[in-house]
Amino acid sequence: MRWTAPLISALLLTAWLLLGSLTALFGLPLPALGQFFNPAQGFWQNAGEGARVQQLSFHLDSPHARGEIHFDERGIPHIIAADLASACFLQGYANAYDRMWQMDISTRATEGALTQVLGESMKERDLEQIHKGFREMARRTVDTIREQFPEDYEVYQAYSDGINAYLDQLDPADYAVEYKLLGHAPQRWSPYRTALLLKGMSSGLSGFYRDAENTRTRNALGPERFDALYPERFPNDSPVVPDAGQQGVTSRFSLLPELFSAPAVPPREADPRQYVPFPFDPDNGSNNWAVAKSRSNTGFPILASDPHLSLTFPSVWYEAQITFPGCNARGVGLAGAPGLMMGFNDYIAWGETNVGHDVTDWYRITWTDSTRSAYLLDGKETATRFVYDTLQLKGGGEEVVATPWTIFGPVPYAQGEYADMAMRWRAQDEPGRDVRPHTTVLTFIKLMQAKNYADYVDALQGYVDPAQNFLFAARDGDIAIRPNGFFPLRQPEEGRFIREGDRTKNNWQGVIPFAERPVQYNPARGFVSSANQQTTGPKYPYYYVGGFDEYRGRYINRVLERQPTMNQRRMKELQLDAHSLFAEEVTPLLIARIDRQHLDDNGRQLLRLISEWDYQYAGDSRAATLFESWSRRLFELTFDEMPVDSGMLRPEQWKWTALLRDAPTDPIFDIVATPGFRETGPILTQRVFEELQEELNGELPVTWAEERDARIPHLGRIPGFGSPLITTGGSRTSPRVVGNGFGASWRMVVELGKDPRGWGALPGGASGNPGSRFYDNGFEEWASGGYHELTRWKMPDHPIGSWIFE
Amino acid sequence: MYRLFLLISVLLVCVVCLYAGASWYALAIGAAALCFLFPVWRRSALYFSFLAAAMVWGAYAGYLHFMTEGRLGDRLAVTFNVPTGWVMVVITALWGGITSGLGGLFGASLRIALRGGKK
Repeated sequence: MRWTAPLISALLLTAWLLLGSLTALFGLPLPALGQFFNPAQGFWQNAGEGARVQQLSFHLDSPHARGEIHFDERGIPHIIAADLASACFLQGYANAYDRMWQMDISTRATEGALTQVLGESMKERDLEQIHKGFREMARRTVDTIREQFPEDYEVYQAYSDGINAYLDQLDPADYAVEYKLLGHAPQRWSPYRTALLLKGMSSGLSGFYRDAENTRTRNALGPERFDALYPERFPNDSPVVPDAGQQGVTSRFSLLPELFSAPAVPPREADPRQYVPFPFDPDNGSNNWAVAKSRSNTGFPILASDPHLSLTFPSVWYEAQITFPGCNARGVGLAGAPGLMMGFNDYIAWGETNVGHDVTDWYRITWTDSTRSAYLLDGKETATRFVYDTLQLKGGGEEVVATPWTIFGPVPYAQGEYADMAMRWRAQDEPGRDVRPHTTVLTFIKLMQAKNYADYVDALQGYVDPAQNFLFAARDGDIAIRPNGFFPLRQPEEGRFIREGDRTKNNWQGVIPFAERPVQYNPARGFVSSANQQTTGPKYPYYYVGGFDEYRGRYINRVLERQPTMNQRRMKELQLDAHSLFAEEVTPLLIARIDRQHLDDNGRQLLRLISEWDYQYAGDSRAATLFESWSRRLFELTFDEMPVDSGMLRPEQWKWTALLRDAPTDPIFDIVATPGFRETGPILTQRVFEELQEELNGELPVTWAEERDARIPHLGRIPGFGSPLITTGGSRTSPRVVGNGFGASWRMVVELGKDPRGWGALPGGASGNPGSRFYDNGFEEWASGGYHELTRWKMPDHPIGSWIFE
Repeated sequence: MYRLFLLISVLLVCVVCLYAGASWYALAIGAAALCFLFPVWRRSALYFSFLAAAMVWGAYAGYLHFMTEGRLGDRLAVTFNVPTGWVMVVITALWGGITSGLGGLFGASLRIALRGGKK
């Protein structure tokens, strides 16, 4: 009996300690609660600002650990270094301090290494990434850079050293709160991880494809109907480089003997689970433009740039000033890569939008046996090259994963509609010194140091993928835009459909030479601009295919053409403009089709609401909600022949608008499910209106902000770590793009001059720590349309913290 | 009097653990050791060990929560589906208290068992 009490208390204590040490208790996504709630090591250690607001000195064992980082009142680092390598080292150190978990998880996602930290649920996704060859691509990239661009490799290495120097000092109590929640630890950085990060970026911007959908749709509709519904060019487009502005380009088709499109191969049955492995978001896009000094109130060019990407906390971008001899730049870079991708220095400003060309093609492989050890090529058996990778499992253990590679690329799928097809994607390539003077990262490092147009052109020559519309403005008065990247040299329709992979000549045959890529330099119209629309006018001799926006670009160009003089305030207003050209063109068509004679009071109220609309997607607009519901439903009804799960492609919005306007009795409006009745555009328009009227039952629609329900989620979708509702205006068809988890990931306006000035807005903050006030301190400013001045310190100006590296 | 000494001693151990960045179960070991040494009954060992640790963990977490305007606590409250960040402070205090209290209970029980049922 006397030992009963100690025994019971020992059992209780053991049970409690066990309870606090186990992860995923009761199957819930929970960390080990004992350590998590321990204020000495757990999440409470992440509350507050930490080293950012302190004066610290570091003596690190690296030749590049020389310089200073000062943080301003917004928490933005101002990096002052003795040379380029030191600047990269310090940028790596600052990136790691603020964004280590983001960098870690992003590269794990690209690498296919999430299973190791998140468990079995991630295995299928990881295998897909490995089979698509992301690890092999990153390895190739690093090997090429190390062997052929040793001076570029130094930049990658110095940046990695900076990250690792931070990790070497890190105590587990200082790990980001996400590490504590998920129970894993940071992994060391290397140039391989930077390469992975950039491949991940490429995947989001140039990794989309519709080969199977195009092929299926053409086979279902027949070539004639297909060509009518899916023309490759929007006749009223306002391209990035119009024919009038194109300079010095001649066709090189004569260099390509006997290159004709192979016949389209019928795809297998659609499998919605495998459908589009890189989901192409139709909202993907960005705006940028620059006005010449002749159109500027200052007498110097003004540049605006706002890239639209998935919005998350922490933000994809990391704001910084980077200074070293020959460079004093401010802008944003990617957490995980050295340099600034968009920004300005004493002489120039630059920014990018995505080009949107389809540079991912699929080739049907004919295996010679079930082991996939060889395939037919030009009538001969050709050995498959297998690449072996290791998938680490959570809690130990590993699996070897084999991926077959052909001359076209990897064969990622054994099942589904892309089964037994090789994927050819531009990002698989890391061209060597023979075709370019430097690497992609150095493009941005060189832009940071550029002084004029010649430097800008030199910088762009090393850039490969994802192709971007590189915008440029200089204080000497030059403005330019160059859609740039290693564009595949194609014959018409090549890359649009699935192709046979049994002949070498079907593979890509080269790239459009740098001098033949589109360019617009000081055009007569006094501005250059891009918004992901068609790259060139119809006279450009090289063929390309892709997905292009046809509304924002036209609207921006219209505004710029109508404004004789721009200033920085008007540039910002255009970035924040929620006017939708799509709505402007479609709304009158909808209204005109309504039978007003038979409308009741509610119907008249709704019709008045939309008739008085100014096509602004304001947050409090109810007309915008009505238009969205009306047009979206009508679009779905029009293309009922092609439901989402059919694997068929829908025509573009502009084509639908043209049908509604010019061919309202086209058979496409006929509903398949009502064979005895022939619907037309006006009948469907009226029908959808009546449905909406009935559903609203006398009420007005909710406001656009409520309907859109847009927020910025946390990168890991951890509840509570995201933003509140975004109540301001914006839509996917207006310059101010705002969607749920999508929008302008950075807004920048730069006024060139003797001392250039810049303004910016970031939907987030410098810090990746949800416990810091710098985690989301930019959100309110961004959401409400504010900007902060992008100061470039010559000397530290009342920093909130300073780190001196000696 | 011993109970007061015990309370102060466990408080000191908790503060030292916090300052040293010790693991959470160090509280249980410290409280068990102190309650083995101080001649107090089991119930007092449980209560005072609980109270001391809950005060230290709760006060520290509350201080951080207040000073940072609840930025992290309030976000995690959403993650853990509790009403406010102050509940996270209370959970922290309870967790520390229970860990220390059970440690103290074990220490006192062991001592009493070894002494044949006497304090």
